[in-house]
Amino acid sequence: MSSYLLLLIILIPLTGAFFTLSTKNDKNYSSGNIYNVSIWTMLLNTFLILYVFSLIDTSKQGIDIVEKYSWLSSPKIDLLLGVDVFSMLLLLSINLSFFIAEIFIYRKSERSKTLIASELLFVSLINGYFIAADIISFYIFFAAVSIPLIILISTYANISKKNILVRFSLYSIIGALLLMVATIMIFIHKENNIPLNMAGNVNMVGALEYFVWLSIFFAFISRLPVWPFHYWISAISSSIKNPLVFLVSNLIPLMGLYGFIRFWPNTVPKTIAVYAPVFEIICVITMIFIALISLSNKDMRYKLFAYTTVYYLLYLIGVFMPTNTLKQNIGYSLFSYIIIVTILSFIISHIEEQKKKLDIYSSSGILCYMPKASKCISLFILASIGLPITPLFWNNFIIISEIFNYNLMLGIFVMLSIMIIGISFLEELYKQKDKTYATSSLIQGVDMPNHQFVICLICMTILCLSFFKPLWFVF
Amino acid sequence: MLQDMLYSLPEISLIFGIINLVILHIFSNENPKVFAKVTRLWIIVSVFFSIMFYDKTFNNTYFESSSYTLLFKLLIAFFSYIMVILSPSWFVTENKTGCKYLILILSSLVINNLLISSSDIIVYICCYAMTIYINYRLLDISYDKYPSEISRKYLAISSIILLLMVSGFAYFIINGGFLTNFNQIKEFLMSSKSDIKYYIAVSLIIIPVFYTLGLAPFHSLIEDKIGKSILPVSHYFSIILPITFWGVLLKLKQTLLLPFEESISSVLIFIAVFSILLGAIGANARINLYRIFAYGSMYHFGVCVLMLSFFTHQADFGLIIYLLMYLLALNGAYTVFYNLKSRGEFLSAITSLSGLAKTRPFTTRALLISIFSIIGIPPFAGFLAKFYLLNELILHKKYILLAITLLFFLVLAKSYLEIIKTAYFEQKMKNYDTENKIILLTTLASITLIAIISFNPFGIIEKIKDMFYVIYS
Repeated sequence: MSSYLLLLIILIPLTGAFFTLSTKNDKNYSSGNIYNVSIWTMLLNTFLILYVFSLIDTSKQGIDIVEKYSWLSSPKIDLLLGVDVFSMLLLLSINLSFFIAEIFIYRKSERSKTLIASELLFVSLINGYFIAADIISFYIFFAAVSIPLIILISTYANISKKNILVRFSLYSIIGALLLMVATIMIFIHKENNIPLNMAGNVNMVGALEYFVWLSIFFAFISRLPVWPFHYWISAISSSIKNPLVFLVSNLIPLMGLYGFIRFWPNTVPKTIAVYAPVFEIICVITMIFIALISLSNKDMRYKLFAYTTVYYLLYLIGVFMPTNTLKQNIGYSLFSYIIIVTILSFIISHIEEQKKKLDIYSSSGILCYMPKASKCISLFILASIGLPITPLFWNNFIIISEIFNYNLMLGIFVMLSIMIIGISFLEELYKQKDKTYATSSLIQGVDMPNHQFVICLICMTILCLSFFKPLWFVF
Repeated sequence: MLQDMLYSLPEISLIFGIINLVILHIFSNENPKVFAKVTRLWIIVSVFFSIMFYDKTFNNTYFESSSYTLLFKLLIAFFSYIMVILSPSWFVTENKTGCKYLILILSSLVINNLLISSSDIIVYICCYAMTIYINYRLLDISYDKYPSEISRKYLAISSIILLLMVSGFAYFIINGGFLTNFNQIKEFLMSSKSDIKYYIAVSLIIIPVFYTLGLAPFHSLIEDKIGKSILPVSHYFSIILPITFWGVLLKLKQTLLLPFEESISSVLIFIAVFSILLGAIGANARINLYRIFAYGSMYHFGVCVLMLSFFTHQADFGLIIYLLMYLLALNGAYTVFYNLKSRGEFLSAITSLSGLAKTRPFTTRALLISIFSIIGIPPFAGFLAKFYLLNELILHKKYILLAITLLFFLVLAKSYLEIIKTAYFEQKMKNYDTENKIILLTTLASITLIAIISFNPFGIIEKIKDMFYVIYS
């Protein structure tokens, strides 16, 4: 049985997606059925991941559980699935986030067949991406994630920005093509499908080596909002109002980041690795640029997008540090970060929804009418910018220290952009909590529902426990 | 004699099908669904006998059968069967009676089977002439005027092409003696391969195949053939005809082209690159869906010619996989087209897809999957095609060709993405007719096939390989 566990982590959401698609278009029952399928699917998968986590030796470095499946005989290709602590942390955080998201959309209109099926398909494919342990299956999942993304963005992005879809799709296709060419070149060079951690040992020379690594580099960059490739992702994220789709679009950069983590730190040949500082400079410029835009932008969702971008780039710079010790810290930090962003995204959506309902243009003072939402958003914003109650604090502290240790100027700029983004967040929070902006008349019934409040508290408890013992949930 | 009759049952059963349709027509049954059912039945009977006698033929002098010919016969029958399931929808909607289309399809199946099995150049020329006639008659099914302008043009140009083919053959006979069997010709050419006059003769025999496949610079009329004809005929020209002629081309490659491997390789690369360029650019310049896909086919067939130019078994197998996966995806798109109707009118303009996603989510998703497959996004069928293509290009170190192929692939992809954009982002312009359930089921089956085939279920890729590699033995 254990030999199919990793495959099951991919197949369960996929089956959920098929069940969702097969529901009848009955207005009375369809929505409820779809919802039930999705929430049970995510719950089951989360428990399965926890079970797999318990099978892993957490003290061991590298891939632990491995599953092998034969695919083609001409050319001979076997696909490998495998996980280590780092990928398990990402798997758990993503599946948990989508489970939380399902609870948040309870009794909401955002439960159409397309949305839920695409969401489950996305979860299935991104799980596959984190589980893939050889170069070909890694490519397959990297490219396949574009399918639910394009469907979701096509369906839920702002209708006024029609060309975004074409640009986004082309960027995705270019990225996927580059990775495919590089993967096949490595495959032909080694005459075999090699495990992911062996990609750096291919010993190619000259132009071929440059081409392969540049292709891999640009393939992953195509998923990250780094200048000059930042436009499409910022355009898309700012045009998405649906929190579930926003969550999905916010996980695209994670794919690029994960790609770099898997390929870059130990395995990239030195001839290519020398160019890393140039990229670090571009990253830090992008961080400051986006943080400054966030400061001037009034839209809370844009601020959240800017926050996620800055932190993704912080982790990316961490990946480029000439040390092998940061990977685990990035993993623990990402675990908290993904959950925090998910909760914030849904609270912000709730506030925006209420604003629309009340026909209020400005958000100033709006949290005065929603005490529960106010408590939650305050707590999570503080946690997001470094309140020492989550693993985000400790691990980001180590990552930033390492950056300072590596290059003082780089560290200063990274710190500066994090400070700006923190100020931007706190400024907006203050505005939304400011009683002087609130109208005297009492507005009732706009606060977040109790079940959402409870979920926020449970999430904070999970994060707090992880602060003291990162893998407390592994038995 | 009895044995020969037995071995010709695949073709005889199709002829019986034609007779059956004629009898039904005489007894004034004008229901397109009944005609289609009868046609499907006879296709199944023919497939059964083809499998049963896969390595037998009624005339060993002019034909040869093997698992290779069976592979192509099965593919032709499979796609024809789907086409016959879908076509009544068009005839019922357009309120057209008669069984002319189905008779022509069955006739083309007979001819295609003979063409695939032919081992003699005279049979090959005769079958090609018959194909021209059938295509001409199919193009005539426009119900507007008779004969249509496009069919007349097609007949004129195809006749010239046929003349070229015959002159090539005649030139060959005059200079090389009366050798008509392909294998004998191959042996003869091997002994005098550097001779330019034979090179020209072989080229004249091969060009009609390129012309039928719509490869540049012999692409005259391919766009109009697919774009101007009625939907079922367009479906036939897009899927059935290419499968047949790729089967023929691969056989001819092994016999007529192989002796000129070195010199003809660069010509094939020129044809491939020209088709890739023209296909990608042409698709972006069109607003008619059928025409976009016609130019798309030109690009993809160009890619196939590129693989053909390597003259290796592995590349040829890659070609077969590429072709099969592409045609599966294209077939998926065509099944969607049968459901694109507004007020009883079949829609073909890209703008007619505006807002389709809102009212017809399943149809849009099916179109999306077909397009994703054509683009080569895993895990759909097209991914396997792209994998084999890139594998061959990199293996042969053809980096410039790789760059050209991928660059123009992006150009082509843009035209496909415009279709998705229109379906999802544009405002609804038309009220679509109710979707036909049979077409929906066929679409579902097609996209399921597209989605699962790259997982290599039941080792299907290896089975295709075993059937295909017989051509080299």
